[in-house]
Amino acid sequence: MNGDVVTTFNVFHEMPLSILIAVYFYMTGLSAGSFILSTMAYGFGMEKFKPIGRVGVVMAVVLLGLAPLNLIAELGQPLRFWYLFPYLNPASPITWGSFLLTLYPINCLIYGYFMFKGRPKLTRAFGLIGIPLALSVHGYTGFILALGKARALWNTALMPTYFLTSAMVSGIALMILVVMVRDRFFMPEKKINRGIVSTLVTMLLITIVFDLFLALSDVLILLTADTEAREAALLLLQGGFRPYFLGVEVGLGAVIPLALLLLPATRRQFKFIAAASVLVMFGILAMRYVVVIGGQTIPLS
Amino acid sequence: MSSSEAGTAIAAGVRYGMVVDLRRCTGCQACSVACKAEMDVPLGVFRTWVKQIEKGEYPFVSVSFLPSLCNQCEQPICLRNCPTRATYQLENGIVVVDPHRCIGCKYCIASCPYSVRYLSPLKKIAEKCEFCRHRLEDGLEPACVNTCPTGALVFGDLRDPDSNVSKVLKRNPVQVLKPDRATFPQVYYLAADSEAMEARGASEGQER
Amino acid sequence: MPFRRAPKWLLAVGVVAVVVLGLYAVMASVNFVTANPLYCLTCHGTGGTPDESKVSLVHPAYSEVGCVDCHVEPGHYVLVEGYRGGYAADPPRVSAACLRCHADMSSKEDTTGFKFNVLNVEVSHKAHVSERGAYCSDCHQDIAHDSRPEPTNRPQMNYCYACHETSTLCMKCHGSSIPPDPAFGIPWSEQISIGNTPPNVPHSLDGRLAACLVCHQAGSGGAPKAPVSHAGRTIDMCLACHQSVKGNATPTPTPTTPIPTTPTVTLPPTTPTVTLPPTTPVGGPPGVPHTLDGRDSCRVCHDTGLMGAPKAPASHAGRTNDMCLDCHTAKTP
Repeated sequence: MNGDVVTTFNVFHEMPLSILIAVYFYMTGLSAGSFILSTMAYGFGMEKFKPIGRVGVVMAVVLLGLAPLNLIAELGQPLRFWYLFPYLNPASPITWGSFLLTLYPINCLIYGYFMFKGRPKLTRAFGLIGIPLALSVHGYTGFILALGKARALWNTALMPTYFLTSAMVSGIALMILVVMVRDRFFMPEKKINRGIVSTLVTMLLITIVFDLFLALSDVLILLTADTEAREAALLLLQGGFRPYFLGVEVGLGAVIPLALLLLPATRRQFKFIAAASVLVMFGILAMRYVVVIGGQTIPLS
Repeated sequence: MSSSEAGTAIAAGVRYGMVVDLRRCTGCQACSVACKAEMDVPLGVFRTWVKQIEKGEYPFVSVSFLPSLCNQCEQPICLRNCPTRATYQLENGIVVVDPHRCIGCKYCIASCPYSVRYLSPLKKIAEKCEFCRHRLEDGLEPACVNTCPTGALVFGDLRDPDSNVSKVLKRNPVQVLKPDRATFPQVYYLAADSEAMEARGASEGQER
Repeated sequence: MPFRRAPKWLLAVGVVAVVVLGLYAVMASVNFVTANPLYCLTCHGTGGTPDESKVSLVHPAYSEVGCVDCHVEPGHYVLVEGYRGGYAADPPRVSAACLRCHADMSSKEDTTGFKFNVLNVEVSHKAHVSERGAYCSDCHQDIAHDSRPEPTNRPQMNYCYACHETSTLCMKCHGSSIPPDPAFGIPWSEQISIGNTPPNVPHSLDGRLAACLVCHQAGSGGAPKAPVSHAGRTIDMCLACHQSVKGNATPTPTPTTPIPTTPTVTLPPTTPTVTLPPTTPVGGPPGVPHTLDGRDSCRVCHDTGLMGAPKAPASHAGRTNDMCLDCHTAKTP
C-alpha cells in the first residue's frame, strides 16, 4: 500500500457481531468441555473420572441454558428467533446450531437424569450419543466463523479444530476449579482429591500445548499468505490486538500456566494449580474475543 | 438504459448487472443521495456510497473514486449463510431481503466481503441495495443510475447482447471487486484505481 | 386430596386439555397483538417517510379496519409473519381484501347507498370491476394511505385519467342531477365566496390567460385562494363556472361594494321597477326575495318572465327547483 494514499471519504461500517457472540462461543465451549469430561467416567467407564461425572453434566446443562440468551440478546429481532426452526437453511451453520442447541441440552438432561437415577447402561448410552453432539455444538461455531469467508482472520480450515481445542482447554480448567472448590468446601472430608486433579492437570497441559500449536500454525500461515491474511496476522502480533493475543491469550493464558504446571516449585501446590486454571480461562476468553472482535476490526471496503 | 428496454426486461431470462465507469465518475455522490431518498435509508447507513481517495503530493496528485453497492453476486455468501433464508435471490439475479423474515442475526452482514449490507437502526433487520426493483417493475432505472449526471452507471440485462451494459462490457476491460472470494459479483468497474479498490476502512470524519 | 387418587387416565386427559388450551390461549393472544396496527407500525412507522397511514376518514384503522385486513391474504394468521408473501401491498392482494367486505361492489351499477360521495361522482363499478377487470386500488388508492397535505381518502380525479381521456365536461362524471354550478355537492359551509356561490371573475382576463391558479393557488397579490379541490384545474375549467364579467378593466380582488344577498327593492307583482342587469352581478346569483309559499316551481314564472319575474338566463334551461335553490338562497322563509 502506497503511503501517499489518503482516504478522503469512506463510510463507517458498524461491527455486526458484538462481544455477546464471543461470550456465547466461550460458554458453549465450556459446556462441551464439561460434558466430554463427564462422559470420560460414565461413557467410557474410566473410573478415575467418576468424581467429576455428576458435576460435569450439571455444569454442561447450566452453561447451555445460559449460552443461547446471549444469542437472543444479540438478534435485531429477538422475538423472531423461532424462525430458525421452520425456515431453516441447511447450508447455513447457524441453522445447524439452532437444532444442535436443542438436541444437545435435551440429551444432557436425559444423560444427567439417568446418571443421578443410577442407571449405568442408559447413562452410558446417552453419554456416548452426547459426545458427537457436544463436539458439534461447539464445532459448529468454528464453522460459523470459517464460512464467513469475507474475514481473513476467520476463513481458515483450522477454525473448527481451534475452537474445539480451546473448548477442551477452558472446560478442563473450569473443571479443575469446580472440583477444587467442591472438594474443599462442600464435601465432608474438606480435602481436595489429588488424583483427579492431577489427571485433569495432565490433560490440561496436553491440550494447552496443542492449542498453542494451532494458534501458532494459524498465525504463521496467515503471516505468509495473501495481503489480507497478513494484515490479520499483523493485527494480532503488532497491532491493536497484540495485548489480547500475545498478552492475555498466549502469555497469561498459556505460557504462564504451563510454567506453573510444569515447574517443580509450583506444580504440586493447589493454589498455583488454581491460579493457572483461572489464567487459562481468561486466556480462552481472550481467544474468543480476539477472533470475533479482532476479525471484524479489519475493514473490508 | 431506455425505459422501453427496462419494461420488456421484466420478462424471463433477465440478469441485471451494472458497469461503473470510473472515467466518468466525478464523485458527486448524487447516486448516494438519490438512493437515500428513494429507499428512505436511515441516517448513518448507506446502500450505496462513493469511496474517495487522494494520491500523491502536490503538484502530482490525483483523486480516485469507487462507487460501492451490492454486487448482486452470482454466488452470494450472504445467501448461503442466512439461517432463515430471509435473504434470497430472484430470477433476475437481484439478492433481496424479506423484511418480515429477517431475524437480525447479522451473519449476512458479517459475511459480505464488500460491506454493502447494514442493520437498519430503525427496523433492526438487514438491508441492502436491491437495484430498485420496485422501479424496475415500473420500467424505470434504479435511482442511482437515473440520477448519475455523467452516465457513469450503466445498468441493464447482462444476458441481452444489445443492452447498454453488455455493449460496454464487451468493448472495455473491466474488473470486479475481490474476485478471489469466488462470489462472482455482477457489478463491473471500468478504469478503477487499484488503491481505491483496496479495503481502506472509514475515513477520518466517519469514525464514530 | 382427591387429586392424588384420581385415575391416571383422567390426569392425562387433564394435562392434555391444559396444554391444548394453553397453546390456544398463547396463539390467540399473539394473533391479537400482531394484528394490531400499532404492531405493524413498530417497523413501518419508522423512518423519514413512514407508511403510517393518516387516520382514514373512510376506514378508521385503529378501530375498524386495520393493516391486516387489507394486506394479509384472507385466512392467514398474522402469527406467521415470516411466511413469504404473507403480507403484500400489490393491487391483486389489496383488491381481493376489499371485496371480502364490499362483495356487492363488483356488481353495482349505480351509486346509491354509498356512504360518501361528496362530489357526486357517477361511476359504474360493475363496468369497471366485473367487465373490465379493474382493481379496486386502481382508483381507490388513497383509502388508507393518503399522503396529501389535506387528505380526503377519496379517489383523485387524475387516477381516472390513467385510462380515460381528460375532460373539462364536469357533468360527464359528476352526475347529471347536479347543476353545472361548481358547488358539486360540497356543503355550502365549505364555500368561501360571498353569497354562497362561486364568485364571478371581477377582473378582465387581459394578460391573465395563462392560468388562474398562478395567482389563485397561493393567493399571491391578494387574489382569493382557491380551495384545495381546485388544484390542477386549467383556465377553461375555471371559466366553465366562474363567469367572467366583461368590460370591467379594473382588477379588484374583492368587490368594494357590499353585495346584497337580497335585492334592496321588492318587486311589485305586476310592474318591475328594478331591472336586473343583463350580466350576473358581482358576487353571484341573487337571492330569492320572496317567500316560497305557494311557489312550487320557479320556472313557471322565471322561464318566461311571467308577472314581472326576472327571466332566467338561457343557461338555466332545464333546471329543476332543487337546482335553483342550491344557488339562489331563499333568505325569507
